[in-house]
Order: sequence, then C-alpha cells, then structure tokens
Amino acid sequence: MRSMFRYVAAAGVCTALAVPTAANQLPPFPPEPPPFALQPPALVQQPRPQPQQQNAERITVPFSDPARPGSMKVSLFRGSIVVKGTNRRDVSIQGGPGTDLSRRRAADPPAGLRRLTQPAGFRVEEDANEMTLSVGSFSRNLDLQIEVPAKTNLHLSSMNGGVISVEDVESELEISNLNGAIVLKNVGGSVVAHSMNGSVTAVVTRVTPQAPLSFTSMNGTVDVTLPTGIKANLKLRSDQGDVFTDFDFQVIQGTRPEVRKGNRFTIDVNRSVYGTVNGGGPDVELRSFNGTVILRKAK
Amino acid sequence: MQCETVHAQLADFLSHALTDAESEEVRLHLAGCRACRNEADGFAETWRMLGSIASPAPDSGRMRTRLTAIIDGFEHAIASAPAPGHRGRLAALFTQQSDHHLLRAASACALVAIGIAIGYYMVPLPGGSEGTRPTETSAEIVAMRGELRDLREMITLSLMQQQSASNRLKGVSWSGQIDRPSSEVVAALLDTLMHDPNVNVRLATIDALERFASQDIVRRGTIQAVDRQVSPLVQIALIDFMVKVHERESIGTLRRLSEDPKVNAAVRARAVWGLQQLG
Repeated sequence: MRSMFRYVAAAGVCTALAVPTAANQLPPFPPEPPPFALQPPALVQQPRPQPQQQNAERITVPFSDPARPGSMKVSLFRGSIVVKGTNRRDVSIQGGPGTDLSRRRAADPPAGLRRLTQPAGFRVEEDANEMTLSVGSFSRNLDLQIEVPAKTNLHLSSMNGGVISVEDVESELEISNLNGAIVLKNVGGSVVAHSMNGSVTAVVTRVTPQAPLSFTSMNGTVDVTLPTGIKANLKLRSDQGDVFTDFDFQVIQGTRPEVRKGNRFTIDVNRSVYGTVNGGGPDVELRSFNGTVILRKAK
Repeated sequence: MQCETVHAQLADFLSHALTDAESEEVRLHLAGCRACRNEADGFAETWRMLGSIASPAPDSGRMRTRLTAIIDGFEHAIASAPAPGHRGRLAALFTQQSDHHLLRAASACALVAIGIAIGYYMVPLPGGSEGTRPTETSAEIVAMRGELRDLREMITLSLMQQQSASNRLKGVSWSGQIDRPSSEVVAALLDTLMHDPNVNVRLATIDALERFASQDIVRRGTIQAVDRQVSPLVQIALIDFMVKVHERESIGTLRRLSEDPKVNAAVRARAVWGLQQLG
C-alpha cells in the first residue's frame, strides 16, 4: 500500500479547538494550523456550558502528490458537509458534533458538574491522492467544514439532517443528499447532483467543455445558474411543477418513440423540454418531480 | 526454546518457510511441549481447512462478456488502424484507460475521417478519365465510417465503466450518437440502469434506452430494473418508460408497485396512473 496515511481524529490526538459558538456559525478556518502539533485539549472554563457548544476537531491531511488534482470522498449518515476551495495544497478538515434536531434535548448537568463535549470522531484515509473520510458511528451527528485545493474532485453524500454546500471548487463534483439541500456556489468543471427531498441550487461559473451536467431532485426545487455562453443540449423537466428560464432557448423535439402493435399506433410526447443553447453541446439535465425547475443565465 | 518464540514461528514452520535449523528447533520443542503441540495441531488443521475452501468464482458472466467486448473492440481497432505507426500509439492511448486520452484519440480519428471525407467530396471528379476512382472512394468512406462507429462504440463502452459519474454520464450520452449501435452498447446501458450507483446516471440511461424500446431485451431489462430501484425518481421514470413504449408485460410489476405500502407514495400513484394508461 503506497503512501497510506491514516489519521484517526480522536480526542486529544489532534489539535482540538474548543470554541464556544453556535453550531451553525462555525469559527472561520485559521490560515494554516500546524499539522499534528500535539497540544493539550484546551478546556474552556465555563460555569454552565450550553448544549450547542462545539468541540471541533481540526486536522490537516496532505495529498501524496499535491501537484496532481486529488479527490475527496465523504459519506455521512447524519450531518452537514461544507466544502470550500482555496489555494492551499492540502486538506483541512474540521468536524464538530453539530446540532441534531432529532435528538433529545441535552439534559442539564447534575449540580456542581460541567459537561465535557465529546469529540465527533471521524477517520480520514489517503491513498494515491484519493482521500476518504468516514464516520465510525451511524447515530452521531457530524458537521464538517472542509477546505480543499480548488481543483479537487469531490464525491460527497449525506443521508440525514444537513445541507451539503460547495463553494469555489472547479473539478468533478458528484453530490447526493437524501434529506437535505445541495448548495453549490461558484463551482466549475462537471457537476452531477441529486437530492431526494431537498432542493438543488447551483451557480456554475465555468464548465469543462464536453462535460455533462445533471441536477435532479424528487421533491425539491432545482435552481441552476449557468454561464451565458454555455454550449449545451438542455433537457428540462418538472413532472408536477413548472419550468422557468431566461436563456435563449432553441426548442427541439425530443425522442418520440413510435410503437406499433397490430393496427394500434402510439406516439408519446413526454413533458421534457429539450433545447439547445449557443448551438448545442454536451447534455445538461435539470429535473424535479414535485418541485419547480429554474434555469438562469449568469448575470 | 521458549513457547512464545515457537508461537511466533508456527505459521512459518507449517508453511515450510523456516531454515532447516530453525525448523529442527521448533520440532524439538513441539516434541517436548504438549501445549505447543496442541496449538500446532490446531494450526495445521486450520491451515488444511483454509486450503479446502473453494476460491470464490469470478463475477458474473456478464462481466466477462463486457471485458471480452472491450478487448475485442480494442483489437479490432488496432487491426484496422491505417498505418503501423498509428498502431502502437493507439494501443498506448487505450491501455491507459484515461478519459482524456480516449477523447483525444476519438477526436483525432474523427478529424482525420472528416478531413478525408471532405477532401474527397471537394475534389471535382474528373469525368470518366479515372472511372474506377469514385467506387473505391465511396468504399473507403464506408469503411472509414464503420471504423469511426466502432471507435465511438468502444469509447462509449469504456466511458460507462469509469469511476467518475460525470464520465459515465458522458458515455450514456455518447451512446445516442452511434448509428445502429451493437448489442454490446445496449447491454452496457441496461447494466448501467441496473447497477450504476448514481441516480442521475441511471435517469439518463432510461432516456438513452428509448431508442431501443423495440428490442425485447430492453423491455425485459427495464421491467426487471423497476423492482431493483430504490430511487423513486428512477422508478417513476421507468413507469413512464413502460407507458411510453406501451409495455403490457409490465402490468404485473406496476400492480405490485401500486399495492406495496413500502413504496414511495408518489411512485404508487404513478404506478396506478400507468396501469390506467396500459389499460
């Protein structure tokens, strides 16, 4: 196994930051935390810690060949994933226990005792420029904030409870979320995104020529902004909702399979709107079953 | 010799990986130590049983067919490559299995073919003086078109095997640009519909399969796929497909879906609608 790094983020092993802040306002990333600097976990003295306080774990993991674009795969059962592209060459991961609304309210500590927040616990493996983040426990909620080099391929998935958000990354993005939204800001490359019950919102600023894009949702709105000059074959469809766009849209006829059975002849015209923009190009699909489908031109 | 040392060496001892001297030492110790002998016997038994476990059979025949298909396509392309210089380069490009190179090779071949085709069409035919030329030319063009199609097919099949969802999506979309694709392309699409981990890729596959709706294998495959799907979006797209191609054999599957309480409510409703449409 060539260059297998293995970092297990556990209490006290890595730089533990104990920053009291609301769960949805995680502290900004420090510019460059010293990797693997062993510091004693900072215990913040507080008379009555609040349940939402974070004990965020932060680790920095290098790619084995930073000169080549790496890839990062994250699969969560519960929790949110926020990824930001930066000009750094390694990956910084900060994981906090997050807020899980479905869990019971944290009990008040017994008199005279204070609560110690347990670390969220996750594991990162790197092998030949492919990084994989996994979580040991199915039930614990984990909110991740990840900083990656801007050209890192991402494969993110979450089942419950959180948004998956990606900003300033230009690469291959493959994102799926079961019960949360997907938000992509200023991304480029190729995108394949699916949310079952959440919305899919994407602002794609640069596309790789010939790369297909696909954004789908079962129950949420699909709202995608594409560069004005994009060459694409569009396929837009909402089964129960409406489709809106401000693109100059050359509507073309989709496939209309003709079926003959004896004397019976059927032509089916489906609800998809097919069209080309700027002369056509790779396939771009926006699809929702119950939600609205919106395709916007970048301003 | 200590029992601990012997324990550490037992595995090597049993697999005859020790030197003669070490082996002899272990044997001596085993002769005198009942505990270690028991241990060694147990070990040997396990060793023997491990050997008797049949190694798992390689994956489905389908995998093998696909692999053969890719290899065949690859060999065919090499065999029909125009110049020996090209041959090596083509082989190098395709063995790298990289999308980048595949595309580069495809576009290069497409350009060459288009260039030659345009060249032949543009040159005015000198009337009668070279009477044999036009037929040769058109034969060459036909051959070249055939090669181009084979190449495209090979790239499509290869793209559908890639790790990245974006490339697989590209492969599915490329399948739409092949005239009269072979049954391998159809089989690969059906396989993608069944097994691809990505919802978007599976959805695109259903659209790509519409062209082949008249083939029995596609109709049967899509009916099978309905049962395997976990994504309601894909299930609904498949129900729409059944209705679209008027597949009455799917009625049983649709009825089962419409009555299964575990199935998503929207899918059940769609199945009921599908049943009405198929009458």
